[in-house]
Amino acid sequence: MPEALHEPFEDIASQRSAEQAGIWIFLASEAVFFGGLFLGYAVYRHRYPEAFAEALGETNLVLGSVNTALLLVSSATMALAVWAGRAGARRLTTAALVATLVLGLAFLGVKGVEYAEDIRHHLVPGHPDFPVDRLGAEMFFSFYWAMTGLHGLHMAIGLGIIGWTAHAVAQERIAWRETAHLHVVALYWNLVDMVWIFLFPLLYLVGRG
Amino acid sequence: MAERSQTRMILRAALLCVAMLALAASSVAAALLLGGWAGTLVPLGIACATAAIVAVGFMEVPHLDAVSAISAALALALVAVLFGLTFTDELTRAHIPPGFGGMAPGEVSTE
Repeated sequence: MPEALHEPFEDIASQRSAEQAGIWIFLASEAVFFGGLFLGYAVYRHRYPEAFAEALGETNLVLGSVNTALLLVSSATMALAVWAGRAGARRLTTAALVATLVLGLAFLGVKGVEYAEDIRHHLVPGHPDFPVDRLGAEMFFSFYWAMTGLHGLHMAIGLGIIGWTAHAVAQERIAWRETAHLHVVALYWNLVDMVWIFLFPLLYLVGRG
Repeated sequence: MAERSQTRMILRAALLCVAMLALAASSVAAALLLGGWAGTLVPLGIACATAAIVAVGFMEVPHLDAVSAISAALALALVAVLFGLTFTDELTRAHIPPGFGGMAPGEVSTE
């Protein structure tokens, strides 16, 4: 098992505290980054409410709902990995990390199917056969592609880290019991999950009724 | 003892997961059944409740140390300022008369 304590820290509690503070500062910058995108969406939704509602009707509610369920379950399995890690349960920690990885990959797979369907239906801003003939509708899909694309990129990065962590925990290559490694990974994954929790109503639900 | 503790962890995760899935299902139902402002506000309110479960249950926000709590609070404050200032401009710009050099939201220039 590798050494848990690293320089310049004198005790593991200070190191854990610094690890946690570091990820929270990063998450804060991410929140502001996505906040700008949500703000842009809100401004244009305010300007073109009918166009946004009509364009939203073109997104696939079933696939969006399936993906929401996958991501919510993955958030729970990731939290389980943290709790099991604190208890020193290596098998449960690894199993929960692998479950999170599988659920995340399933999310990206479903998203890929959805993207293919969107392209087949010409739901691409600037496409000559764009199906909604209303000023502002293409703006909705500009946000749709930008926001889901950036979210997907964050997911792909998170899945890479989770996959590596699962392997490292299984092989005892990191000091997963003592350090905040699992908690830091989980916090990043939870933020990705939280972004989707707000993307789902804004891109699939609001105005559909 | 260890097995019982692990079972408790799994049950806790499952319980929170079921609560979030139930909220997600209710937001879909609300969006399909409710129109107007309710169809907008209810799904967004449910999203806030779901996010609160993630923040409290998984991210352990109530137990943050000072630096982490300040970072989280600053992020929220910055986003609030972004929204506040932008919408102050957006909502008041609609009241500028066209001859005053402004265009109403959605208005397309004919020049």
